[in-house]
Amino acid sequence: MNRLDNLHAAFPAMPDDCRAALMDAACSVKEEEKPMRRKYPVAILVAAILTLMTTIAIAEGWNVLAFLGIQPDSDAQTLVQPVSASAKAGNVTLSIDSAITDGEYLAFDWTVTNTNPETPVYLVVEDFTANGETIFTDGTDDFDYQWLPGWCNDGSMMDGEWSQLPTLADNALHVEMVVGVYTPQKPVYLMDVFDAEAIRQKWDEGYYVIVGGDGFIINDPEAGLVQGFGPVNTVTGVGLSRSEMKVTFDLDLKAARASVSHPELPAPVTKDSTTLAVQSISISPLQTHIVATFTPENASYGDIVRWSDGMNFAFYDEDGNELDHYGMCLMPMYEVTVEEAPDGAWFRQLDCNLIEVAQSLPDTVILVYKTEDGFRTELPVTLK
Amino acid sequence: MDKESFVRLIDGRADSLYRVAWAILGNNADVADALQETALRAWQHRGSLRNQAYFGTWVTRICINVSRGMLRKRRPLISLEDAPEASTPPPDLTLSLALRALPESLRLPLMLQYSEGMSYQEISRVLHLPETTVRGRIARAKTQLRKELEA
Repeated sequence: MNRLDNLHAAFPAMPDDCRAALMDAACSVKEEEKPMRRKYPVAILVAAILTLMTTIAIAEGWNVLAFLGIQPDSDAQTLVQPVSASAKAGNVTLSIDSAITDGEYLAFDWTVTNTNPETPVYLVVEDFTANGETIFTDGTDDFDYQWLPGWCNDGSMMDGEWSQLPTLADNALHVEMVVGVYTPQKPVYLMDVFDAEAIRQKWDEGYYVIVGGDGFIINDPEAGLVQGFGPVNTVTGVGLSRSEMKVTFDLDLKAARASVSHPELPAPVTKDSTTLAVQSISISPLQTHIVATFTPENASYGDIVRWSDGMNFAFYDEDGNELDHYGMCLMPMYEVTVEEAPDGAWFRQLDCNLIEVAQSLPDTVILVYKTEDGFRTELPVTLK
Repeated sequence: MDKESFVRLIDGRADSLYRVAWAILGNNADVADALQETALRAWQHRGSLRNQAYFGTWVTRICINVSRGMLRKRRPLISLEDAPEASTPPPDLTLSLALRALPESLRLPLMLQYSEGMSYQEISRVLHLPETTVRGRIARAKTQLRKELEA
């Protein structure tokens, strides 16, 4: 679709007043203002309904390894802990079959089923803690939400959670999660694509209209038109009753932590006054976490931006085959950006977590930094 | 992160944050407020940023949450007829309208990939969805967008 290649054209140019609002706010912050307590990114609980994932789930049985895309015979299996937690609210059940953690990350599967799809419900994760510490979504306070059955014709939805854990002193991990279940007091009509005329027609027929599975548009005689794509818990006044499901489970962290190793770091490689280095490696049966840097000598901010034109960190095997990070090594976290060293020099940093999926990672991977104009430097990294 | 770095990083993401907020809110008055709140909240919560490598996806996520929060606040007052328009029409109005017709769950992954150039992994992190889910949503979004454009 050629027009997608220029999707910027679907948006107006940023007007000066919007730019000023952003930059004035950024420039108004005070250096001495202390940051709020560190919070941790978390994959959203009640999120997607994917035909593909559902198909896999039905075919193979849904569990945490299926959620992560890890082969059942992987070494990661050694870290899987059974959970068997469940909760129920009316026609809706939430169950968790298994979880996996290496002390740094936690993942678990979940299945939510609405046994009466004729009465859809809205689900909102309202509380989620690890040993009492709330796991937030990047410092903000709302979670995702999902309409069930939504896209799930059979009323059952399977997915999972992948999140970074806070630093925990205990060797036991206690997870609690509360999911609000909101039930409308009118029949609901699910619409795939926004269509104002069709919405009005359904309103006239006495329906709530839900658009897109996770957004909602509700017509209520008392509240008037309610439109939006946000969590539903702010509109309980227009005809939604609330109940909740709370699930808890406990995991042992001692063995998980013992499984983590830190291989010797390779010596940095220097080429054309640039240095490619691996700063840290931690390996567990669940994931391989690598932090690497590319540092041109005495680079200014402008220099590092120019070095970043078409830049790419990549991993290859020793035969020169690029590792397909989707088909082979899932990277749930893969971040590359510009960093500034304490001495004022600028560099590029890669921070990624590799999960072995369809195949195992090679014992040695070749970390490559390459640019659009043909520059290429590489560093062998021994993982096992 | 010091203030100078923060301002520089925000400046570098300005256009992207604008498009993300506009994709959710659809009018410049609300977008300006959302961007202002995004910058303030990002600074306030900078302690939640594990390292600056994640700044782009991290601040985009904040922008999405702030924008959604503003939607919730304004929701009871908005009607289809009264929805404010952008003061400056986008260059490709047809494409813009077709994009707006998509539900947010499809619109955001699509625009993060094609407009903001994010990888599946980055989108996965921003939206807190499994990568397979992101891929599925983008594929579905393209199908629906094609239908909208052909209609």
